[in-house]
Amino acid sequence: MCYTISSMRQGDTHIEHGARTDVAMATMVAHELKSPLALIRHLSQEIQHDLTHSPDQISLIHEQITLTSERLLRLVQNITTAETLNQELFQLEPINPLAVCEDVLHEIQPLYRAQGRDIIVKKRRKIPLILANRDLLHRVVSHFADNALKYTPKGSTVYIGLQQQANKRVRIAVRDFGPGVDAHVVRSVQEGRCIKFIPRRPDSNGLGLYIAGQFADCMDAQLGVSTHRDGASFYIDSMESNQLSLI
Amino acid sequence: MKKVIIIDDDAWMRESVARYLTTHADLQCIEASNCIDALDILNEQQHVPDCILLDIFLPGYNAFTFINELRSHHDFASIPIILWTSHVEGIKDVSLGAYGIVSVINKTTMTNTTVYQAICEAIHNESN
Repeated sequence: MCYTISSMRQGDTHIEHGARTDVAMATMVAHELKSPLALIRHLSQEIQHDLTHSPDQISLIHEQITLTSERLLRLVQNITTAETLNQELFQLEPINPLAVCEDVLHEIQPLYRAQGRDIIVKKRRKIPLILANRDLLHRVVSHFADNALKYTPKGSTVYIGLQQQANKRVRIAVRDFGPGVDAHVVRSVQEGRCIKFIPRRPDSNGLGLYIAGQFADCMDAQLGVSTHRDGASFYIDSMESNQLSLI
Repeated sequence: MKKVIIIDDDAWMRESVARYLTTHADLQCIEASNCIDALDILNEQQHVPDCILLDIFLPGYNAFTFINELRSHHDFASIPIILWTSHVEGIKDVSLGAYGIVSVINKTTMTNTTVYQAICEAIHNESN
C-alpha cells in the first residue's frame, strides 16, 4: 500500500482510507523501531548476565546502548513532530545552512566513530543564507546522516555537502557509499510519494524519507536523491534568503 | 573447533553474539556485514563452516538470494543455516525447508544461550 504525501496531508476525511493509512503508518513505525530496540535489549542482557567482561568491554557496551537509544529517540521525536506538524509553529527565517550541518555533525559524529566510520562537512564556496526552519532542517539532515551510516562500509567517510544551485536554491546533500537506489525510488522521492520498500536497501521502509518529505514541504523545500556507481546522495534544496540583498 | 559465520549488517549485534560464542562456547566466529562479503569469506576459507547465522534484511543481496547462491555451490550446499531476524512475522509464508533453513531465531526475544543452543542443534543434526 502506498499513499502520496499530499493525499495524507490534506486530511482525507474518508474514514476507511484514514484507518488504513493509520495502520500502514503504525506498521512502518513498528518496523523501524524493532531492530534498535532488539539491540538495546540484547546488549543490556549481555551486561547483566555475562560476568566475564572487563571494565573496558562493559564501558563499550554501555556506550553502544546509549548511542542506539539516542538514535531511537531522534526517530521517535521526528515521528511525533511530523504528526503534529503545523506550519504556523515552524516559522521560516534566514539561517546559515553550514551552521546547521555542523550542528548535525557534532551530534552524530560519536555514533559514526563508535561504528568505525567518519562524517565530514564539505562546502565548495561561500554558501548564502537560506530561508528555512532551523529545527526542521536539522532533523532532515540528521535523518540523511543517520541513514547514510547504515549503508556505508566500515572505514568509509560520509560527506555532507553544501552547494549553491542555479535556481536560487541551496542544496544540502548527504553522500553515502552503500548500494545505490533504483530509478523508481529516485522518481518517488522527487514526486513526494511515500515508499514502502527500497530495493537493495531492504532495511529502509521509507518512513524516514516520508517524514523528511513532510518537513521539507513545510519549508517549501524539495527532497531528492541521486544515485552513484558506489552509493547515493540524498539532498534537500532550500530557498536562498533575500536578506542580504535588502541591505 | 567448530566454525560459524555470522552475517548481519548490525555490527554491534553481530559482535555481541560473536563475543559470547567465542568466549563461552568455544566456537570460532567469522563475521560479515553483507552477503557479498560472506561469499568472499566462504571462497577464501580452507574449511567449510559448520553453520551460518543469517539475517534476512541485508544491503545488496537479501538472505534468500544468498542461500540460492550458496546452494548452487557443491561445497557449501549442505551447510545448515539459521535465520535470525526481528521480523519473524514477515517470513511465516516462506517455505523454509526448501531453502535448507534449520531454524529461525527471533532477535526481539533471543538470548545468547538460545543462539548457542540453535547452533549446537544445527551442527549436531548435520553431523548425524
